[in-house]
Amino acid sequence: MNGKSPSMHRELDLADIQGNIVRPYGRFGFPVTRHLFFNIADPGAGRRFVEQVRHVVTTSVRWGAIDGEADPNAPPRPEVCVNIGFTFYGLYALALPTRTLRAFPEEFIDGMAKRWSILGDPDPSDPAKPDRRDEIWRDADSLSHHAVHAWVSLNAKTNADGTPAAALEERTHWLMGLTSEGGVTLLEGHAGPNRAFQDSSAIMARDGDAMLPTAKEHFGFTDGISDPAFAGQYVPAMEPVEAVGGGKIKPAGKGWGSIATGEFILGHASEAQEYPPSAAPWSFTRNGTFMAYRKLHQNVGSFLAYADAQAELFRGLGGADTPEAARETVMAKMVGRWRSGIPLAAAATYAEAQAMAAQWTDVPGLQRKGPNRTPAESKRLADFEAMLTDFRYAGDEHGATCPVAAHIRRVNPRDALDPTSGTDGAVTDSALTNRRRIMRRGAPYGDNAAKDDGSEHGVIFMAICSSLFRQFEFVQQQWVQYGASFNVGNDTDPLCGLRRPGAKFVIPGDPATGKAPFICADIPQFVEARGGDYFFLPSLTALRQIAEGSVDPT
Amino acid sequence: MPNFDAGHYFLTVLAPIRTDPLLRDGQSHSRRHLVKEALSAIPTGERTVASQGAGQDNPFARATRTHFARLFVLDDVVFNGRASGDSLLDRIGGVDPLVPQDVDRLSTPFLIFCADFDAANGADSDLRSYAEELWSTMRPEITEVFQHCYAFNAVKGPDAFYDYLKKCQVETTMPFNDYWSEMPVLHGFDVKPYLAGAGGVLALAVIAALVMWEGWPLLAGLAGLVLVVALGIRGVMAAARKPLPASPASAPQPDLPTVLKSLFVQRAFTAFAIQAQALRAGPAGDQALHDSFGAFLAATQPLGPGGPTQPPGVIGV
Repeated sequence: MNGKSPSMHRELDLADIQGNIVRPYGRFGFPVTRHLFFNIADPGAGRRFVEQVRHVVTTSVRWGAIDGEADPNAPPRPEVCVNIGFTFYGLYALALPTRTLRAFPEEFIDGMAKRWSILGDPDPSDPAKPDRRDEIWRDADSLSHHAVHAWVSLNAKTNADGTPAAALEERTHWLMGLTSEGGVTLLEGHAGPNRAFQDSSAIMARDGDAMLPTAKEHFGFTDGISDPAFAGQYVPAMEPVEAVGGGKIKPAGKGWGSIATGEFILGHASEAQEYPPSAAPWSFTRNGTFMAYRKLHQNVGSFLAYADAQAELFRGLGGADTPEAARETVMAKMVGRWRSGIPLAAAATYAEAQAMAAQWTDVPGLQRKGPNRTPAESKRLADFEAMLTDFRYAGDEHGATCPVAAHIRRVNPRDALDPTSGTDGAVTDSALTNRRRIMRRGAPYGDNAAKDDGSEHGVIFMAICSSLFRQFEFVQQQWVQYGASFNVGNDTDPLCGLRRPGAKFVIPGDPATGKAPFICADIPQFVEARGGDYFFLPSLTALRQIAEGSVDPT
Repeated sequence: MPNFDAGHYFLTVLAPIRTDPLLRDGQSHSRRHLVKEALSAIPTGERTVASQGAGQDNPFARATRTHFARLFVLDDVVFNGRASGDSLLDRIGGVDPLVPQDVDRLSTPFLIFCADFDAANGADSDLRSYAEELWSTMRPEITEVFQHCYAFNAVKGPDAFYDYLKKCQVETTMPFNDYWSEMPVLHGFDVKPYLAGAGGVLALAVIAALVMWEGWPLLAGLAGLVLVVALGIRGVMAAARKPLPASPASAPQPDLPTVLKSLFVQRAFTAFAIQAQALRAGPAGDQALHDSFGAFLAATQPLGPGGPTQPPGVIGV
């Protein structure tokens, strides 16, 4: 009580928390995801559907050796991971009490389509603009029989030839069977090869006879490198290790620490030392959280062509020696990382990035070895991951190394917003960033071979956080679609920002060397939202309450 | 004089709104509501990307003197609930918690008008010329809004409008200046002489009391201390009344035409830099770059107030 006694350590109740919150499945041997969306027309049928699904939902409980835990009682990895979430109108369709429903956050009640102006999406009601969203996302009437009410994801392993394991089809078939009594319908209308569900998968690469998943996305960047590390996510021994680069930068030079659990899971104290607001009853929302699901189309052709055109100009101005160095440098400056994933903070020039990549050629082999790695090999891999994430922006206030408007510096500014940054002897921290972090989940979808705009390819992006408004929407509105926080006016994110005529991105010069800035002008639209929605991811307790019809806020 | 800082006059006006209803077409109207209705009809200008090109003219943009203007209605003071006390002290003092406390109210709602405009020195002549300018450029809007305020019926010309503003003016104690390009040298307040004075008075009193072994020097010392504190407070208030310094003479003065021109030049120069990049990278050579910069200078006339500029009341992208 006196604030000085050491706080009690208590592990999160991982068996009550859905597994996709704690784990990016792709990194745990599940490269393929299938997203299925359901409409609930009848509350009773909805409850029976939830009752069936809840018994197979994958929790956050650690899987033996995979999570670095030598516990013989730890459960094995499932064949298919199953997770479930609901839109606000899904919960309404399940006939939850009004007292529970009315206290949900307004952005969750609105749903993603209504938040278009905050997110920088096209106005869906503007008849002058074609609605490019997949058909499934176009129904504006949240109570209709075509509206998305529930989301179920199936994460599967792959066979040696890169195809999904058979268990995926079995689980899909089982799930579709649950709708046979009526009242719950599997919604169709995805633009991909199968209208009934949205598949996504890591991009596969041939390795000898096998097809193995890569961490690449369609523009060629290594993705999913930096994700927040929160208290309770990892075994206690691993927590300080994972916090480096992923956690928060503590004040007064005390290094990295885990972010408060309440930033990502409801019912736990947040970085503001309070519970994130949530609906009653406590037992229904605790250990649940929110997720933004977005299908983001990538105009691969435009991106590659624009990078080439800018590279030519960049090289003409003496920015690089070879066309390849110029192209890779322009791309890296836009993103903040080289396509290999190496951050500009670790390798400022193309030559340095090449040299650094040459030092880590053994990493893919170590990654493939999985749990059979020796301690020395695990250490080597940990050092590699620390190199990718353990950096800050102090000392690069004006962005001479990593542009202030680069993608990764915008979406996670680390210590860049510290008001003392740039003053003599300043010890910077990430206080202004800690309440704006999101857990990223998701994988690419569609055709990686086609390097054009029109083909069906992009990324299924999922952001998990305890407040969509304070975290996901803030990052999207203030940091992706606006530049005032970084003193770049109306310039939007060079990778995924909305483009208005004359959109530009500045690669700052270096006053120390007299190097002039370079302006990437007239940037075309590289990424377009093709639909999505906001989902509540209930705890296992809450799923039982929904199934029983026993949610009681009184 | 906090009404005036760094070349800007910070005006705050509280005009009481009439509480008698207006009878019109057989219907009675709250004047407080009519003021709000009139305010909501004034376009805010093309200040956002969304309102660009809407063709709506904010009346303050008809002249180039107002940096910021804000008009709103103060309905009443907020009731913060019952003033809670110490239950033990209340009991001793005989306060009965069942007796309701008074609820503070304003006698009328107020129309509040705040503006930040270019001025010479903060004298009344500045306010007078501003009132005249508003009257000549936006008299219909002013009348529409102010007609529901007490005694505004008598305002029929710019002089009367100035008198009305002057009567309703309250001192601005926290001006907000946005245009310093570098931190100016601020007037400090040196607390050290007052601390030394207080210390000296106390020390003298204690020594005198000890030497004479009497009590009155301590009382005199206490009185001296009160005097020093009072002088200190007066000194702080006097320092606070000094205007903040204007921009250094070397920097552009922050009057609205200069600010608008700066914004215009900044944007035009960005466009020129993009064009120059292509010239420098291409085969055109230095002469082409030189010529293009000459053309930029001729077209924008960046150093003087003349030439093309950004109109007030809009943003430029």
